[in-house]
Amino acid sequence: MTLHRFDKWDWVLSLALALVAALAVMLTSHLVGLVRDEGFYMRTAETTADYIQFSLDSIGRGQFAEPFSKRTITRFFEFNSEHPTFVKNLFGLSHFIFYKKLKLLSFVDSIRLVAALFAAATAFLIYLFGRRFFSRAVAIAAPPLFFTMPHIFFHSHLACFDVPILFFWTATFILYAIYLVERRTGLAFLIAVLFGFAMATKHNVYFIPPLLALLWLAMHVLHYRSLEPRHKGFVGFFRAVPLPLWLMPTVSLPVFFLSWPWLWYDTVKRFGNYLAFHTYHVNYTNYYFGQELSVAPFPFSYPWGMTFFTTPVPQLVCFFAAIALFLCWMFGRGRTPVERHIGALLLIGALFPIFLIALPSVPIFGGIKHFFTGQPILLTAGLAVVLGGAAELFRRWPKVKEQAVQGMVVAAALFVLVIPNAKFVMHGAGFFNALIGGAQGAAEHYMQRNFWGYDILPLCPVLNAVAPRGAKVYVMSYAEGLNWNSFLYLKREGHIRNDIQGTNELRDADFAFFFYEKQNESVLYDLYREFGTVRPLELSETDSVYFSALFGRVQ
Amino acid sequence: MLSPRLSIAFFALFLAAVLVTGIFWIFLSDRHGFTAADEPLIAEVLNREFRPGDIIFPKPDWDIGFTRYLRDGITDISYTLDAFTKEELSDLNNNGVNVLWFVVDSEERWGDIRDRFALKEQGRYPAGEAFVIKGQPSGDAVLKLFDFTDDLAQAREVYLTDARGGREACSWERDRWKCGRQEWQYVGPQRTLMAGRWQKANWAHPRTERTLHVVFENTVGASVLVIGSSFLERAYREENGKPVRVTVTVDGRELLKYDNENIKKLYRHRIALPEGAKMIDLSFWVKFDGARHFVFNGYLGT
Repeated sequence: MTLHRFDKWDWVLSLALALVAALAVMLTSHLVGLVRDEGFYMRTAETTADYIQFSLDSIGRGQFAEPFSKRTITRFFEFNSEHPTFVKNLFGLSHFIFYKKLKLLSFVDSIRLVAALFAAATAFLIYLFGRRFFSRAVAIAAPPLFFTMPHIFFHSHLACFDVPILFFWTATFILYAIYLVERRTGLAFLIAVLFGFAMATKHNVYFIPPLLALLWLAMHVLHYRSLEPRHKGFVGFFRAVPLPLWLMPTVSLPVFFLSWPWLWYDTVKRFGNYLAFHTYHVNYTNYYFGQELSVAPFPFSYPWGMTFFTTPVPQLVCFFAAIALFLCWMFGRGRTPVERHIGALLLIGALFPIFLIALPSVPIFGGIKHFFTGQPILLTAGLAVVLGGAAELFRRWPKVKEQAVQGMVVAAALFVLVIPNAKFVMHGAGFFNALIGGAQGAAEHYMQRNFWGYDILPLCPVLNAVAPRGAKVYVMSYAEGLNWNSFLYLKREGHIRNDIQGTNELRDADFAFFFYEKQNESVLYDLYREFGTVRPLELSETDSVYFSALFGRVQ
Repeated sequence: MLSPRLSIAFFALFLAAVLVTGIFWIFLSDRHGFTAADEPLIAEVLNREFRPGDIIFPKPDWDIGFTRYLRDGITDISYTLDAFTKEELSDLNNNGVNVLWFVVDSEERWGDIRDRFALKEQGRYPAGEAFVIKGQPSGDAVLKLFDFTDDLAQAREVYLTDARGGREACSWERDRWKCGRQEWQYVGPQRTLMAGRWQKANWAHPRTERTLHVVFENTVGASVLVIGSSFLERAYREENGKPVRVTVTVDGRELLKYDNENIKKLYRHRIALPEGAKMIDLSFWVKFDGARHFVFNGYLGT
């Protein structure tokens, strides 16, 4: 297997696509409400920014050790210590620079800028994968097709860990695949450092080293006869282990610990608490074809079905094409051991996140964001097959230019994908594709319509217009609604009038936000009776399906 | 790469997918539900015809645009029709005193509902392309004589007992039987979701190792008792929540005993009462009362 060179034009094109991705995210950020998790991470960004200010002040006073003392670390890093801090540190740094110091961005945008940069990095990564393994056409077309998947576009906005971990997961697999071909030492170190940051982002990636090691072992045994003599025997076995696998414990682990100050003290206890939190994570209720999934075991089909029905159909075709391609690399006649290894590697990188969640005992704590981490691999490789098919077909008509046809097909796909993206930019977690009938079909089948009260922005102007001074609004924090911090940040951001107060008690409220999830319906019935009306002051809808509503008490 | 044939096949599939996606999102994605023009017409019918005790079932239940035009005071709308069985839906009917309203976006949709629940159409009000249908259960619906929720105030007595023979009476206050100082210690009517089915029921949170008795006198000469019970969502999502033991005793004779397990399930039983049955004691016992948000309903009938 030979890889294409990445020349200066590729740098220009990939960086341009990365810039477009970041701009698209930032310019539409004002359309996306604050999800529940952002309420926690934005609060953490504030404390991290305070830590940076505190550190600068301490150093300014000559107290160089103070920022690293146990007291300081506990003070600034205890909140939300159930998650590593690498991405939260970036949120805090960006918030410190662009909001507190330069005042260039709003409070929310200063934190979400990091999300936009991860979207940009993902666009760059997809280009790199497309260019090195396939063609420049694939490299150019794949990033826009990736970001026109509504779930991806929606999550790209959020100051959360899901797109960052998607980036790190994919980067580890793609760079490792390149390493298997080129065996460059520098690349091995880059993989190890990136993997360290990946560990410091989210625990999804802990599965990667065992997966890579087992796969390598299987390939080593299967192709033992064709190995170089220096890789045979007991010593040769250790010599043959790919360098990144040696570097993961020796480089990645230190990067992980260095990036998470909370672990610098009481390391064993705190790391144990972190692992325990995720091992015994509660299930968040999800609806799947009318089934309330709140207690394990969950159906094996859940993440597969959700991927099938929440991916736009053109991209879904690419996913299947990619699987066919990887299987061809693995089992096709005349393939080299490296090609087989890469085929299996990319198949695992693409599908393992879905397989893991499919295991009945694994908690379901959220939607597809927890298993879309391998989709850049699927989309890019699948698009290569599709565009390869176009090239094959039109090679028989020499008058038709191959690139022109490929360009037109991709342009047509992007054009039609603009429509669902425009419809779902405000409630992207509620997107379902044409195969299930879109929003209406999914609602008809009682699929999870939305998740945790972010779909609020269309309701705010109405509340601001009708609420008397000092009015109280029910925010549903206790029932999978709006995060209390998110409510405060919406006020700070100017979306909700500053004098309006929040409450989690319906009986105290003059107004109420309602965020639809099937499991929240009891709140709606309580609200109807408490307020004496079913008449919403405003509804947030797409294709006649409502996602959230604002109600006012009958006086 | 893949074989040329397979690659071309995927290319053709991709083209078809683009076409399907374009057609669907431009023309088909909003083809069901109630039109904006029909919504005020639907509300006009309901505003005029709805009476207290009636229940409105919109189908589709994801399009609530028409509620924008409903008058204040109409609060009994249920989005849980699909969760009911024929018998359970029939329980909602109060011998024709109340009406079940079905708001549907098409004739086909109404046909499905009518056939599934064996409903009798009593009236039809067109609202543009939509319909508001007045429906009632047909066939072998039980005649309701005494409703445990509507007639809760007429309970002969409500009290708690413990294993040592202690007894604590509950007292009627405004709209409920108060059984202790805590806010949750009462037996009282509410509208709630019983395993996903919205209906009226009595809150009856039991107390640790005590038996909550709700006693009714069969003054109506009933020959049948129907009882339903379930935990509310807050309860069954509590992993270690204990089951509630439900016992129905008639004139001192135990006719029914079951454990309402800590799961999402509506337990419904219909039992024949002995000839001349007088005192009916519904009792609820739990080992530990943490988060035991428990409700029951039912009626005496013929």
